[in-house]
Amino acid sequence: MIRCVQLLLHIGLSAAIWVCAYYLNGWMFAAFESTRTANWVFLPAAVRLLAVLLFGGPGAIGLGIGTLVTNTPIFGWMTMPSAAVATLSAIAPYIAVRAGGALLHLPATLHGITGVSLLQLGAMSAVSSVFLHSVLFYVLGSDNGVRGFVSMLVGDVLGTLLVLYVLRTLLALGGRWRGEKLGGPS
Amino acid sequence: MAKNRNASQTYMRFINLAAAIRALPTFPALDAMEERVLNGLAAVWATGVDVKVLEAMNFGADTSPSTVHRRLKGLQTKGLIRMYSSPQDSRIRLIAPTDLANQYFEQMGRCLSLAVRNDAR
Repeated sequence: MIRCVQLLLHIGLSAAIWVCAYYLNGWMFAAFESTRTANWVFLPAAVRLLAVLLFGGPGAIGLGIGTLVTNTPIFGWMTMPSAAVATLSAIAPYIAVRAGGALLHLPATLHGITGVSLLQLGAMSAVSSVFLHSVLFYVLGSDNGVRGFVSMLVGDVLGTLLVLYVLRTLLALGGRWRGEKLGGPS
Repeated sequence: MAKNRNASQTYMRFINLAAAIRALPTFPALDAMEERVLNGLAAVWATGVDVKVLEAMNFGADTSPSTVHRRLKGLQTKGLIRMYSSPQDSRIRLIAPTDLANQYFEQMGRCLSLAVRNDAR
């Protein structure tokens, strides 16, 4: 029962954070939209990476569900293209993180993961997502050519870096605040 | 037992991920020689003295001046130092730290304080 609740929590959290990040990105970076399906800055790319790293399979499922929700204005609710894009959104980062983790010899607990290996996993996740999405869009006839591919790739990479470094800053500020509170050197 | 292991595994992933995020590189990577040269420069800057390029090239007794000069170029490319002509004598080139170098020293100082504090515990 508790395992079930935990699974649902992981799926729900991943889906909710994906949806929030998607709409936040649309609000903050509307001016950077390249095509209907690509943006030069795409913050949710970091959510793909972090959801799969933290929650594994349930994280990927949550990403798929979140993508179904955010895809509705573009592909319609529960249409074939929408389901296909949602499935890819779940599978691509999952495969990239699993493959990347194996290449980097990371255990399931991520013990030993470094800042550099996190960036490497981010790059793998971005490349796999962009490549698979581009192939799918080509098959669906929504292909935006080289421009769409490049803007998706740049968007995923920039979005991932932005989120990771904002989190890094927040963690550093939190640590400094805690240090000052304890009266130690900052 | 299985459910506890799943919950603790998620928590461990969170802890390790947070540590990795904290460790994201923020400064250009320096090799051992560049670090040595930069630390040598920092020691002289701390005394309030200007460092000439020619003096810096003779910092290491066991390192050739040309090697040091290459490293100085590398540090300049990475934005950690700037070289400029002396206002008194334009033939003399001086080395000054950039804001990035000062941030680097600050961060090293913080890491050292943290290490000392953890050690004292």
